[in-house]
Amino acid sequence: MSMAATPTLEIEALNVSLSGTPIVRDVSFAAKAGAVTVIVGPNGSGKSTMLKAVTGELRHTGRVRLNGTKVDGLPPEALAGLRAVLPQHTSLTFPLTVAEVVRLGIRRGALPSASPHRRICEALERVDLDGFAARAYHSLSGGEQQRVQLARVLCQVWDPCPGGVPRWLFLDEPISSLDIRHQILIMDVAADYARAGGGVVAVLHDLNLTALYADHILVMKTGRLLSQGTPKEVITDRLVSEAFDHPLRVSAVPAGEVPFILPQAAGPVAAVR
Amino acid sequence: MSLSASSLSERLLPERVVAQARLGDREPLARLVIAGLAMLLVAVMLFSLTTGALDIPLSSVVKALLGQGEAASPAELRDRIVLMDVRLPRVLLGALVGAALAVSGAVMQGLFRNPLADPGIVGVSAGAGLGAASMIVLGTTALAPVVAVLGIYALPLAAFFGGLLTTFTLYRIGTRGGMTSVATMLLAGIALSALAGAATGLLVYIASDQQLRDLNFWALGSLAGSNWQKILAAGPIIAVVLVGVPFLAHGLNGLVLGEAAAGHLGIRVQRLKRVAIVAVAAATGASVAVSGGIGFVGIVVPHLLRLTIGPDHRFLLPACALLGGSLLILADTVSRTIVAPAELPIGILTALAGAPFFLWILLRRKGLIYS
Repeated sequence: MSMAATPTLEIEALNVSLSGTPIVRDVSFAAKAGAVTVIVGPNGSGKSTMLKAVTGELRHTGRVRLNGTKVDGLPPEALAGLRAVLPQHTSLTFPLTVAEVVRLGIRRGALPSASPHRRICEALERVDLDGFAARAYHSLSGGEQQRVQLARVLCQVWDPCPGGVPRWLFLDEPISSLDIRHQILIMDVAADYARAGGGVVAVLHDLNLTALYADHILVMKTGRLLSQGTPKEVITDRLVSEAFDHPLRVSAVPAGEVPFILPQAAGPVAAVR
Repeated sequence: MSLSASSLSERLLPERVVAQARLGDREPLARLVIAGLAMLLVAVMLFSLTTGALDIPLSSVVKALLGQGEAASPAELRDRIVLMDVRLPRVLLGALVGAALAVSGAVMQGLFRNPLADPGIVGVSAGAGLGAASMIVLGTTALAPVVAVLGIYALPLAAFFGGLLTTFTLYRIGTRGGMTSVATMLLAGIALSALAGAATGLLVYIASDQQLRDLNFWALGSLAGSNWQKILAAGPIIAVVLVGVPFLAHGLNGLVLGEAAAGHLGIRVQRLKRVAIVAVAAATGASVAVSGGIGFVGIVVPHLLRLTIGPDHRFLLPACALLGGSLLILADTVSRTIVAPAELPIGILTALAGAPFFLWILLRRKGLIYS
C-alpha cells in the first residue's frame, strides 16, 4: 500500500447497489486536500450515489479512507468534525429562521463563546446572505435556501485545516439552482476552502465552471469511472462527447488556458441549420 | 406567520430579547417564555387547589402545603383533608399527565418529522389502552402472576408495552427511507386504533361489572379518582422521561433537516429513534394508565409553542411540559366545576377544543397531505 504524501480521500473498489441494481461499479480514486475535485457525468451516471456512499449515507462495499483513516470505524461525532455534506435537496419539517438553520451546523463545544451569533453572521456573509438571519427559511427562494444550507455546512467544518489536519466539504450539486453570480460566488467559496488547506469534493453539472474551478476531474458514466485528470486532460472533444453521448466541441479561453465547451445541436436541428 | 416579536409584545418584552429575535435568534425569547410558563404552572396549580365544589381560601392552601400549624376548626380540618387527599394528588397528576402528553406529542412530531403526529391520533394511546385494559380484565386471572410481581406498576407497564408496540409498528409501516408519509401514518394509525379498539372490545365483553366501571372511566379519559397511589405508579416513569428527554433535543433538532443530514451532523440517528420511541411509549403509557385517553394535548401544545418560540427542541420540550401541565390542570378544573357536583370527563373537553384545532392545522398544511 502506498502512503500518500498529502492527506487524501482514498476510494478503493467502491460498489453501490440500490434495490438490487448496481449503480456504482468498482470505482477507485484519490482526491487530495488543498484541491477542488469535481465529479461530472450524465444524469443517472451514479455521481450522487457515489457521493452518498462516500459520506456514509448509503451501504456499499469497498474502502473509503479519509486522511488515512477508515471512515466506517470513526464514531459519528468525530466524522462530523472531519467532513460536512451539502445534500442536493434539504426539506425542513418545522418553521426555522435562517439563523436557526445555520446554527444546526455548529457542533456542540465547537465554539468557545456561548452565543454562536457572530459565526452565523460570518457564514451568511460568505454566501451573500447578510441580513437574512431573521428571515423565515420557508420564505426564501430555492437558490437562497441552498446558500443557507451551504452556510450551515461551512459552520460544521469552519476551519479548513486545524492543526494541519484537513477537513472536507462534500457538495452535491451546490450551484444547481443558483444564478450565475452566485454560482461563481459559491465556487469561489469552495476554491478558497481548498486553498486554505481543506478538501473539496463536488458534483457539478456545469462543465465550464468545472473546467474553471476543478483541480481534478472525475468523469462518470453508467456507474463507472470513465476518466480522471486535470481539466486539460479530461475536457477534450472526444471524452466529453463520449461521456454525454452528444457531440460537444471544446474551445479554449482565454488564449488556450481554460477548456470551454460549446454545446452543439444534434440531429434534425443541426441538419436544418 | 411572524417570526419576530409583534409590535405589542415588543413593548412588553425586554429590549435584548426583541433585539435578538430581530437577528433570528429566539433563544432569549424562549428562555423568557419558559420562565413565564413556570410561573403560570404554579399559579394554575394554586388556583385549581382553591377551586371546586368546596372553595378553599388561598391562605389555607398555602398554610396546608407548608404544613404550618394545626387546623383551627372542624371546617378547616375538612378543607385540609379535601386538599391533601383529593385535590393535591389530582392537581399533581394533572401536571404530570399534561406534561407527559405534550412532551410525547413534541417528541413524536420531531421523530416523524411531522407536525400532525400525536400519540392519541395515530393510535399509540389506543395501544396503551389495550395494554391497560388487558391488565384490568385479566389481572386477576391470566395475568395474575404479572400483577403479583409488578404490583402497582403492572398497569402502567402494560400500557407502556401496548404503546411501545403500536409506536414501533407505526414507525415501521409509515416510514420509508427516513421520510414519514402523513397519509400512511394517519391511515396506519386508524387501522392500529381499530385493531386495539376491537381487542379492547373483546376484553369488555368478558369483563365483570367492577372491571367494566374501571374500563369505562378509561375510554373517556379523566383525572377523577386521582390518588397518591396513582402518582406513585405513573410519576416515576413520567419523571424519568421528562428529565431524560432534553438529552434528545440536540438530535431532534438535527432531524429537522432529515435523517441523512442529521447523520452527517454526527447524530446517531438509529439510537435517537429507538430512544425517542421508547420515551413516547413510556410517557403515553404511564399517562393512559392513570387517566385514560386524554386527546389532543400532544398536538395543540407543541404547535402553539412552535408559533411562539420556534421549533428548537432544547426549549420546546421543557416549554411543552410546563404548558401541557398548566392546560390540563385548567381543563380539569373546568371539567369538575362546570357541572358541579357532577363531573364532565376531561377527555371530552380536550377533544372539544383540540379536534377543531387539529383540523385548522390540517387545513393550513393541506400541501403536506396531498403531496
